[in-house]
Amino acid sequence: MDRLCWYHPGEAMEEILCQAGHVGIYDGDLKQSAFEQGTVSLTLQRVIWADSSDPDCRLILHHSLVEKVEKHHKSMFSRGGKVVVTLKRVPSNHPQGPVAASAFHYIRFVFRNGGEDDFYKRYLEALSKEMWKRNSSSSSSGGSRSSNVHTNRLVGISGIERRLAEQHHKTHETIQLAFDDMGKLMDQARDMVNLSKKITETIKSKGGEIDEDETIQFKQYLLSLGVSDPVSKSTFGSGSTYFEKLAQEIAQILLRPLKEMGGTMTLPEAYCRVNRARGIELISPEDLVEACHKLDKVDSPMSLVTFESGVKVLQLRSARIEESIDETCKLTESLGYIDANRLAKYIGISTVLALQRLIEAEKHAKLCRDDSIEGLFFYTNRFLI
Amino acid sequence: MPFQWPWQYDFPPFFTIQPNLSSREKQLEAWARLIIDYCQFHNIHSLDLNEVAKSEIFNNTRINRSLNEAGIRTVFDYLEEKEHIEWTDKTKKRCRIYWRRPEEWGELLYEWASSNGLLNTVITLTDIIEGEDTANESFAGLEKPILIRAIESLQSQRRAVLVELNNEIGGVKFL
Repeated sequence: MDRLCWYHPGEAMEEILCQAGHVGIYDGDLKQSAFEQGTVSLTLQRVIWADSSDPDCRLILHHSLVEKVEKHHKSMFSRGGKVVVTLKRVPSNHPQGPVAASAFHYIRFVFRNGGEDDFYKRYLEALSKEMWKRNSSSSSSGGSRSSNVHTNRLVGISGIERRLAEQHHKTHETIQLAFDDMGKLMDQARDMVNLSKKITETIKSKGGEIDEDETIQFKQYLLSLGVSDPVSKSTFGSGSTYFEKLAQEIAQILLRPLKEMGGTMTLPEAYCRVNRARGIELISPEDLVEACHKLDKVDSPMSLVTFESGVKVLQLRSARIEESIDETCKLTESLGYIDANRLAKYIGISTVLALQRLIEAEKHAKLCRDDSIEGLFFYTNRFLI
Repeated sequence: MPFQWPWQYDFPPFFTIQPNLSSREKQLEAWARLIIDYCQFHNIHSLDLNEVAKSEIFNNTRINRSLNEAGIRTVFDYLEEKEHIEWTDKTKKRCRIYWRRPEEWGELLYEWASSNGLLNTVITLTDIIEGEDTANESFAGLEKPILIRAIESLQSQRRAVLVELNNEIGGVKFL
């Protein structure tokens, strides 16, 4: 691989003898390469490989460096036909290439879309003509000019200048990339600004009066304004103190939403609300569960309850199961029968919790189930009346 | 007069075996009662599980509910446990159904025999099942194996003896 060198725009191009697409260059036995996909062109002087995704990335292998060329047929396990080029030792004045030093003295061209037969045949022809020797002696054709450029590249003032120019180009690209990222950030910031503008305008236009939907929205916004000093691992470490402090914070954040929701909340929802309130310094789900286990220890008004189905919820201590069962039964009585979706809609809780309530009521023999292809419905338990 | 379906038959949860144990007990009781009443009404003494699964007992087209195979099995296990049925094959696909348990039939038979002054005389089983005298009794048309089981239960209490006629059990003497 170290015998390859970069192609520079503006170099003279010779007549192309043959070309093949979807070709990768691999160093020796290595299975991976930075030059996986490109177009390979054969001229009388050299092989030029151009990356398909980056037209500026082109590599050159001069014929003078080639010891011999072999063709390997496709096997069951390889991805394409191969042409293996054994190379001569690196000449002392060799221009810099993509790889400074390589342990291998051969490279492989892998033809994923075929074309290796033609390429191999013409490669042998081109090598046997030994055109580069003649050209360098006559010094009139493009081939010699290109080799002059090669030798001149790294020596003298022009070499330094060239390197400086390259570096400048690279820096420019990096800065460009950085500004692209900034651009995205600005886009998001614009959204936020628009949102805040909208809120201000709504308040202005309604003279301070807003309807229910917007109240709910505002509540959410205010919730997300969050906690000024979030409990974080960096201040409390990862021991039990951290989780206890976190539990206190969770209790504080979720007390009101829990009351509004009828005393029960699933953990995913708790997770979202807590992180929304924190804004930054987000906590992981594991940390949340761990902290919820500490809720009893910090004497909070809520606790972690695991239903028999495995569903974990946060529940207010004041919310009594019997009350929720009574409520569920009354609703079932008045509707005739009920399913989890309907109950969820009526009480305003999630479907998972609604189903949990129904099963709880069933366990207390207040309801009985009707499980058919139409779905799972619950009826007042007339068997026991 | 058509068969009077119990209220449970139109109650959709009746067709789902209840997970709650106390509910299930009541439900299975209701199923057992329904099957026995149905068989008595239609004078059925033996059942084939495959056939009965397709019958109207387990399929209520009005509310579009039917009891699934596992449910039917549960119901029949319950019936077996309460000694209302007896399997007649090893795969438990066919069974005899006792509207009354053998002892109950025996009791009825003994009452009938004593009130008709038939104690200490030999009566053929055919007379009991098909005889004109018994045409209005509840055991008229009873299947012979069930009748024999009933008399056997009396025999164990020494209140009747089975009598062999023509090398097979053919008669009974109430004591």
